[in-house]
Amino acid sequence: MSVIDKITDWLISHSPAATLELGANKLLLCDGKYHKNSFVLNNLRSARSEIGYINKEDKSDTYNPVDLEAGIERLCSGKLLAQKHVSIIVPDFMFHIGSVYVQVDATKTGVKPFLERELQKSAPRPYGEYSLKYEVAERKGDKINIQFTALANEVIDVLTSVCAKSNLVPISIQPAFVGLFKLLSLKPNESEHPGVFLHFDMQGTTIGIYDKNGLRSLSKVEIGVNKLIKAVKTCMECDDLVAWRTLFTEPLLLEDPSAADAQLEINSYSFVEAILADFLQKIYGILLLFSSENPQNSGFTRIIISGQGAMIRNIDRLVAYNLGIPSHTISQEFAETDVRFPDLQGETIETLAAVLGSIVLEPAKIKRYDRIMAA
Amino acid sequence: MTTAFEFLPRNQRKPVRPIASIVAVPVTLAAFFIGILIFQKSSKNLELEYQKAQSRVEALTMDFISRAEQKLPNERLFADLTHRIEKHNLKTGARRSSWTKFFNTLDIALPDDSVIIALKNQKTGNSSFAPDDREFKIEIAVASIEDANALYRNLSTLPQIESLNFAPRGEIVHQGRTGVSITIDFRFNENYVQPSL
Repeated sequence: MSVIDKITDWLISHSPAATLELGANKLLLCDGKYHKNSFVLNNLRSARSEIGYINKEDKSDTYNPVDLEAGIERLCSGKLLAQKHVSIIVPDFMFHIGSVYVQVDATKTGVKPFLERELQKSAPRPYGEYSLKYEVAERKGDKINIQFTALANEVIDVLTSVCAKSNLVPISIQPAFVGLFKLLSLKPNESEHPGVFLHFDMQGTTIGIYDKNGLRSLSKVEIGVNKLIKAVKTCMECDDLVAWRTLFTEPLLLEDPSAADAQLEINSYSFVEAILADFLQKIYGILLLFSSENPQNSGFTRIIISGQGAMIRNIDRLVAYNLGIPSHTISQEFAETDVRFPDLQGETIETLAAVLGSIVLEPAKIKRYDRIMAA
Repeated sequence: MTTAFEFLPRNQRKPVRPIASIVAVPVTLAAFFIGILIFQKSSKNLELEYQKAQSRVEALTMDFISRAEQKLPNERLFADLTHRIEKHNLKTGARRSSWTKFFNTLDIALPDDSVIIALKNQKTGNSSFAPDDREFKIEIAVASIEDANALYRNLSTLPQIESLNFAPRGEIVHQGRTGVSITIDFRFNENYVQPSL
């Protein structure tokens, strides 16, 4: 590493960095600190957009640079006078996530060709248009499991150019699940059986299975809050605000999910019932697949729900009842943790989970960054 | 796990380049050099002030010396005055000059802290002297034996002391101080007295 690189790393690691979460419909910027089981978030600002910041055309895995720039400008209350370091969190649905089993002998020459072939098979773009990161997971017999995550280069280019125009200096671009997993690591799962996290976000849901050794499996389900809102809007012929209120303010799910007849009497539930059933079924399938691949680890200790979808009242009861696994929202998991942030409408630990995790992770720190490069 | 998924390439990480630094560097340099110039000028001024003060002190010193010299008595007048005093002394004290010489001789010979206890005429044994009486018997108290020896040495070397008889008498207490009592008999020949005495 050159002297200039060392100076750069030192400057970055010693500069305060803000966290910028670029969601599908919401941008969030804040400065924060984590110290001894206590979070303090300062200058928390959010910018919501009904139309969203994602491309509406065929490529839905990239940001719309014009909308994104306008959103960030709104977030920063005009142009920042001085440049500011930001750790960027990109929602998981923007990434192509997968895992592959490779023969140990075959990996001696490198695993990248296997991953590129897998990416080519499953991703919508040619593999050359992606930036690919991977991590070697556990070994099973003569095979090793490799988990990979790919992000379109176009997204990275859009992010860097938009940040440059907005006087922001990106120092990290990571998927939301990275921070979320880091946050959950603060409450270690000591059981032999893995735990599950559901990050029920706007555009999709990330399902992660983890145990005390780390993240074991990661999957995506393309059912998010936006799909529920769209269904409510279609059925009720209403605007976003009414649909939002129907989902998050008015009663949608009963406290006793076994009372099926009573549940069906809630009119708005019928609008989203099919989507929720599909959602639960897909999660069940993912858990079943993991259990079959890892019979020694079958059985899950708990499901922790985060993201905007966790704000649907009693969603945890619905998940627990249908999947037969104890479930609760992430704010219940961190009930004993002191989390202080400005009173911003609609923001809770559930919606800030990825940001809180990123603050703990401190992605700009040089030592960690070196490990990233090594990986 | 999960720390591997960093998507910002290392070479794209750039530290903040504050616009203020573009201004701050030349301003700091300018301030630095201006500071050096001010410091140099100030030190030159101080040096000049020091030189002026030094020359002022030298002038004052010379002035003081010259004024002091003016206040000293004239050497010629001083010598003339001394000559006249001596002349007057000779005129007024010529008859008693032998006693002056005698006591000046004793003053040379006696150690410090010596005390003359008694001065007697050898011929009569009392303290009355005729003009030509030159035989003396003196009782002296000195502080120690060493002083007694020193007194003997001094007297024996003086040519004007003749027929010296030196007799230590033992310890005495005189005026509250312990000392050694000595009796000296001698003849005083003033012809051998040096002119300065």
